[in-house]
Amino acid sequence: MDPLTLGLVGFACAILLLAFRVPIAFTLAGVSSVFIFIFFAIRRGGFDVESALSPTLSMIAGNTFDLVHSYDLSMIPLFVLLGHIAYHTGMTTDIYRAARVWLMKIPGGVAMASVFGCGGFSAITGSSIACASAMGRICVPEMLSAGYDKRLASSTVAVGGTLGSLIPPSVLFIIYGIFTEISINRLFLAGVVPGLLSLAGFLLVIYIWVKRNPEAAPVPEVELARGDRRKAAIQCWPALVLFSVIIGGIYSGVFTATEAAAISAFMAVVIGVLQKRLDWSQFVESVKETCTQTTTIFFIAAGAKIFVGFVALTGLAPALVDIVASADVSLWLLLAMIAGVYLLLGMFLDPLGILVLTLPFLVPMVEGYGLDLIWFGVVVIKLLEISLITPPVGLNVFVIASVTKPSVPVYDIFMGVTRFLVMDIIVLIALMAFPILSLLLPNTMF
Amino acid sequence: MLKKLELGVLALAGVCIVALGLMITVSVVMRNFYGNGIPDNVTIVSELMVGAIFLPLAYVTANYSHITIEFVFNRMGPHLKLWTLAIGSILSLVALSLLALAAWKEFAHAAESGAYFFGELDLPEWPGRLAYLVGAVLFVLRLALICVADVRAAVFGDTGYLVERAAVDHEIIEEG
Repeated sequence: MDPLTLGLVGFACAILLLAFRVPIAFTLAGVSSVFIFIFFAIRRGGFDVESALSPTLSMIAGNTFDLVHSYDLSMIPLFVLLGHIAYHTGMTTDIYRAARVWLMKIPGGVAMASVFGCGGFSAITGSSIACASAMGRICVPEMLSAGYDKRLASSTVAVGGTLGSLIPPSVLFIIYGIFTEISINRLFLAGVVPGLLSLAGFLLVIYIWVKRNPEAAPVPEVELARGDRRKAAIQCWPALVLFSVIIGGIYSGVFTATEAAAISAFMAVVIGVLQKRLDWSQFVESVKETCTQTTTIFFIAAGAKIFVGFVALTGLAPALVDIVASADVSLWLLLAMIAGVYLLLGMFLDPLGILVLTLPFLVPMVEGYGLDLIWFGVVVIKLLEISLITPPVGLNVFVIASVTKPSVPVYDIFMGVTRFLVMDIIVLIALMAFPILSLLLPNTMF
Repeated sequence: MLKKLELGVLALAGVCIVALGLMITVSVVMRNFYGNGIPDNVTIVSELMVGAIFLPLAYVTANYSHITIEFVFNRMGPHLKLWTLAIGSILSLVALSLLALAAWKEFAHAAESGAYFFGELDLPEWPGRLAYLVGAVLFVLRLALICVADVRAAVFGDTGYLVERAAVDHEIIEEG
């Protein structure tokens, strides 16, 4: 069997195992380990087990241990820890509460506050799913009790949670940075403007929705006391300080993304303790959740690293690049094809899974076209963001449907999400057409 | 016994995360106030990362916290689901046992050669490799236990097992 056929068989096995509910990490690590072993065993004809074992084990160790044995990547557990501490101390929900007080009296204001709150929550925690789970319990019942249309109430939280993928710190950007070997600092900065653009787009959708159908979002009959707005704004200072430390520190060059992660996590603990919102048991719980989440993420990344090694051995990626090059595909057609593949995969796969499965093939192809990998990273993360709300899987939608009481049917959430999807596509096209939107901040970085 | 070990190494992983966060923070503060940070800070943090990531692997596996794709699986009948889980577990165990072998090879090489990291402290390489080995071995042991349970449930057609497994999944999702 030639290496290319071996690569194709290995890829087919991986898809089959994923469909059979074998965890993504096990599939990537397992399939690639076994096929690397087969590759080395058959390379000189016959099946030489003895000479295959040593290089296989070296490749496995090289791609797992060496990936984890990294100072730079310690930012992942630290940002995850920051997210859990912020969640347990209520810093994440403070953003929503402040935005709600400020926007309550304008039509669709609570929905807009939910988008702000979800954006802030998912930006700090770096998890769209956690955001949908936590904010779905808080925002959706509040909007429903205020007489909001259930489609508007549920879909704003579902789409708001996706903002965390673009607004730093984003775990997806870190994983993308590992695979493309480009600066995570620059990736973080590249996500800021597109993240804010997406946020503005969602607010515009709510505005138009409510303008055309005022009954969808009645203004609550609550009188605000004098000073309520000021008090609410002051209450969310910890989240603003942490966000400023991360972005400001990286942009000014005072510290690296890894140092920003450590300092912001440390500050979150200190603020939580001083405000008496963080006790020992919450701290231990946060650390425990961080261990579980980080190990899950890293094991997928490690599996994907071995998989990348396997793809490189078999020459599968260069073969694919050759096919695309010989077909003389235009840049826009290539981007449209990539978007199509991502949206299709997003219907069935988790964003992290899509990222690690596609990057080994896409990065060489994109490099062949001479495209900027930072800009391409923003486009890819935006596509993954969209995949979180596309049917039939749309993880955020299902989380909202499962945690919201009174329950909102999945069908209604998807119907509500459709209007936001249109805006997402418009923002995506803008990001593709104007790379400056992504590259402005990283290019002016200190 | 294995559960206690898993919880013990999970606690150790938590200590690693807190320690590496403190190391980086203190180093940044020292660098800004005294001109230089903690010696071999980068090496120590990298070694702590190995403990933080590999030690909880068995605990995470025991709680079925790894990300899976349910799209096709959810459309299967209960008996087909049981056999799918069993076959998936067997294949995972066979393939991922290579990870434990690779970890052993790494540790044995570092311990026998007395390899160390060049730096101010000349720190030995074996502690990180030991954490890698312990994490990988416990992970394969846990995988073997899950494999036995999955195969037994498939052979006896115990569909109640699917509910038990899903309940563990659900708890983790709720926690997350």
